[in-house]
Amino acid sequence: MNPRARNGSWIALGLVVIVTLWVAARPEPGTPSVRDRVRSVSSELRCVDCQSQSVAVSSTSSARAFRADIRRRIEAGESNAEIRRAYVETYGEFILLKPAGSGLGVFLWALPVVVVLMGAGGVALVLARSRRQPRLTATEDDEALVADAREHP
Amino acid sequence: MRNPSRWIAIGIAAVVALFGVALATQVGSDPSYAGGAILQRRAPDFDLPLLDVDGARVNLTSLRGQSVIVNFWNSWCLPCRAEAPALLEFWDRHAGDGDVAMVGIVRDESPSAARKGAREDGFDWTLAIDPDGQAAIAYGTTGQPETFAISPAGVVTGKQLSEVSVDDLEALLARARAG
Amino acid sequence: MKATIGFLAIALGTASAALGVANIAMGLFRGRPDQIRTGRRLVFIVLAFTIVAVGAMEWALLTHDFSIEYVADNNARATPLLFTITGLWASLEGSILLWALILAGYLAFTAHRFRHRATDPRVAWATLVGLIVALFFFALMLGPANPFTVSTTVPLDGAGPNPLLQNHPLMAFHPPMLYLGYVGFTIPFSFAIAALATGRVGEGWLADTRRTTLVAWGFLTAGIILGAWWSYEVLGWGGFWAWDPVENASLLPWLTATAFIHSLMVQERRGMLRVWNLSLVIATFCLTILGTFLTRSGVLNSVHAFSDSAIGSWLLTFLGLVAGGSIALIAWRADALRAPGRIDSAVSREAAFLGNNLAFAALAFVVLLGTVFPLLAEALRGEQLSVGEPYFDTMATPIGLAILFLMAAAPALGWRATSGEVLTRRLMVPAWVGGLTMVVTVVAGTRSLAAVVAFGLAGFALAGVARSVGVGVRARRRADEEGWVRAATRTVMSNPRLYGGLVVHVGVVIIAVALASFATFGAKREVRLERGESVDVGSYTVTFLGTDLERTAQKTTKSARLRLERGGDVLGVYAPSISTFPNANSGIGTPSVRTGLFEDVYLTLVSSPSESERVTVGVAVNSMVLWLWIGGGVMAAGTIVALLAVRAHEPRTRARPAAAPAGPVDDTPSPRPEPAEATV
Repeated sequence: MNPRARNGSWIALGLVVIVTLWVAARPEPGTPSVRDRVRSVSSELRCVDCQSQSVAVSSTSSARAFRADIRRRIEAGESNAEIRRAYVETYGEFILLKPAGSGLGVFLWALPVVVVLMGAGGVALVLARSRRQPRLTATEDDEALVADAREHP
Repeated sequence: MRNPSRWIAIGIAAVVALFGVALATQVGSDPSYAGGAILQRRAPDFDLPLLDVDGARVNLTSLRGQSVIVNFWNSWCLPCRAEAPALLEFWDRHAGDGDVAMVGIVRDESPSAARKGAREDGFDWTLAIDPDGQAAIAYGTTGQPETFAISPAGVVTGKQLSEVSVDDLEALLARARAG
Repeated sequence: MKATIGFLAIALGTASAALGVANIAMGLFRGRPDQIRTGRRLVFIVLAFTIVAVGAMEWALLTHDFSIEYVADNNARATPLLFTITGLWASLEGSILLWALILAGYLAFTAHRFRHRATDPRVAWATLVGLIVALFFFALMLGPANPFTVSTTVPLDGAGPNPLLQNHPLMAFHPPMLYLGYVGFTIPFSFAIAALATGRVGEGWLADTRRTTLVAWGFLTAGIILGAWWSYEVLGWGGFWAWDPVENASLLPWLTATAFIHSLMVQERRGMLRVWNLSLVIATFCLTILGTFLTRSGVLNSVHAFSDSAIGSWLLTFLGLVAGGSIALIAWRADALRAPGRIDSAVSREAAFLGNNLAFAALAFVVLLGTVFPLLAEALRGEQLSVGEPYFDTMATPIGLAILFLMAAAPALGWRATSGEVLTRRLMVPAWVGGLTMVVTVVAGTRSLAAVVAFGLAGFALAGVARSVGVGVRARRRADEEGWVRAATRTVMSNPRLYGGLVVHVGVVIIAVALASFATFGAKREVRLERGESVDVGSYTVTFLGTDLERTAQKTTKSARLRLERGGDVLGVYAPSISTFPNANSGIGTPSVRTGLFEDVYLTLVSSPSESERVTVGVAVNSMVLWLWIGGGVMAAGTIVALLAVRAHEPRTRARPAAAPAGPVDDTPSPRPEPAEATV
């Protein structure tokens, strides 16, 4: 494959991927149904008499009661945020399986990003430093010597 | 200390140590849920069918002016059965006071089973069922038994999320009366 | 008597371990090889006493000897034989005993394997470290977790195991597998410490422990998958992974170990990442202890936590010593740890492994942070918080996709540097396969970004694996004029590490596809049915036929008979149930699953049918769950292939002469394709 065809093919693939992702990411038309909203709100609430499960997946009677309550609130016109707030008022932050990005929750959301950025910075530094060093060409004998030295320092 | 990896090691050691100290403070502490923020707030109203009288209901508004003890229970929960004698003795003392009401709300059980349990234990205060669990959610319960004290003005002034003794109940009542 | 034998065995095991530690330590410091040999022999004696202790416990369980508290708490006369045997790991004390057994086994195996190098300081140090770890676990059994505590009053019958632990035969396999994984990492850890202690921080310790690491990793992988399977078949909430602290505790060492088995290749090949590899091995070991602490000390709420025990402070102290000591050793050896090698290009295998390690480390950090965050919040601010599935899903999905991408692309990269032309030759077709897979999934109506990307990357990765295997086999066929089967076998055997690794990758791709499908497709409903009534869920029709009641001494089971139909064909009658056990107050639901190749129907009984005319049932149509277990099997098979590597007691894996940058298989047809590097 000649270089121009090669680049063309990569660019074409890039375009195909971008268009596909754009189509996939478009929100579905229309407003979400009550059932979808119940699912989305309940999946972020902790089932209070289970251990690590959400209200959405648990089949305990309290989880069923929560789902019914959410449905009632949605039908009464409350927004998803209002429903969450109401539960936080009674149960505290404990009820949210996905802590809010305020207060202590900031650390939960920000620390991983900081760590990834630091790690990526470290990797970039290693690569950059390697590139700055003069390139040495080692013969096979050199390599064998180094390997031996490493094994028996 | 010219080697930077020593400084990195010291930094990591510090983070690990902090982490360890934080964990160490939690050894032996009770991890279970300590309850939400319902204290000192207006008691959520409820309007529930009575367990043993068909068609009759109890609602909190009608109890305004009395100190109310609300006890969430059911018959399959062993601590609920264990606290039954304390409830009976407490109610024996205060049923005649006139300013005290006690409501047992069945959480997570069918009426027939709860009725049977209540009969066995001899409960004789107001018993209600919470068929769709709305009262249990409004009070922020995570299980049973859970007991709440409500002042005559309708404010939640006390709660206990575990088995109660007679003394606990007296303390809850005192808080309800104090408003 | 059984208690006496058991306790005596533990006491003697402790003494032997202590004696072994003393002997090896003195032998090392005074330069006395005979003492080191004595210490080494004591490893086998420790194993013997542990076997006696475990034997005593099993004997007590089988004879229902309720004078031993552990037996009374975890066994009953009505407990079936299988769950009587598995009673050994039904609760804390027995689990520690199992841990000690497996640890002693690994130590003895290692001592045997290195019998010709027993007095080599690195091997001696490793044995010393391993024995110290064993000593700690024995001390636990003498102290806060004594499995042979005798009760003053002997109950007529025991309480029986936790109902969840006597509901499914998988319980017999999942915990031992998990422990074989957990405990196995003690060996690479002890060699890492030995490398630091002796100052021989080169590649030797990696060569010594590579296979054990792989074995432990394989067991841990199998243990995690079996745990998910058990969760799916037993817990009845319809999923298999809840990001529960116990699950996370098993995932954490797996993540760091996976990072390690990739990055160790960079050190083997290029001598780089010495500190990083030591840190990963030490972190893996620390995370197994941390996981035990989190799940066994009662600090966290969890489905499977065995709460309340003095063991928490012991584990935490041990963890502190291990972590502190290791960090100090690394700092002490910092100068020797300076890497001789360097990275030539960002488009190289070693750079890709750096990316892989970054992703795995990030994922481990996220899982660790999310798991302990509620504890930290409580310790720092007295706040009670929950961190659950939505958080982990949000954070883990992008990292997981990044890993999938690297997994698809990295095997095509050569060491040192890869030219654009080589890259195109190796990746263009697989990348187009991936791109077109994405197009197809979107055209088919999938609207979940993560799922579309996952399917695309899966196509990319599979096509890449197929291509490298295909090229290798074709070259061999052309050279030796062999049949396909023989050529394929010989290709794989020419480099088991590489091809085993690729097979593991295929398993990972299968699991990724299954996870994405499960999250994206499927349907779930909870319905109340009168007898004879039907409900449609997805393409299935469920009809409630009636209820059954079965009483045994072990449990009382109520079940609902449900007829399952699709398109008029009756698929069978399924009976989800709820069982009540004498030792638990609420019922334990058992789902009934119709397993299909692409779709499961997952039926649960939501409420105990008080009257036989009406039930509430959960009906879920789950997509591709079977493929999770198939993927797990493929991963296990790949691990076994990777272990088939030519056996040698002292594998000499050192940098080969740097040929032209070689990928997995070079495209130039040559009589013997240059055996490429492993991707395990």
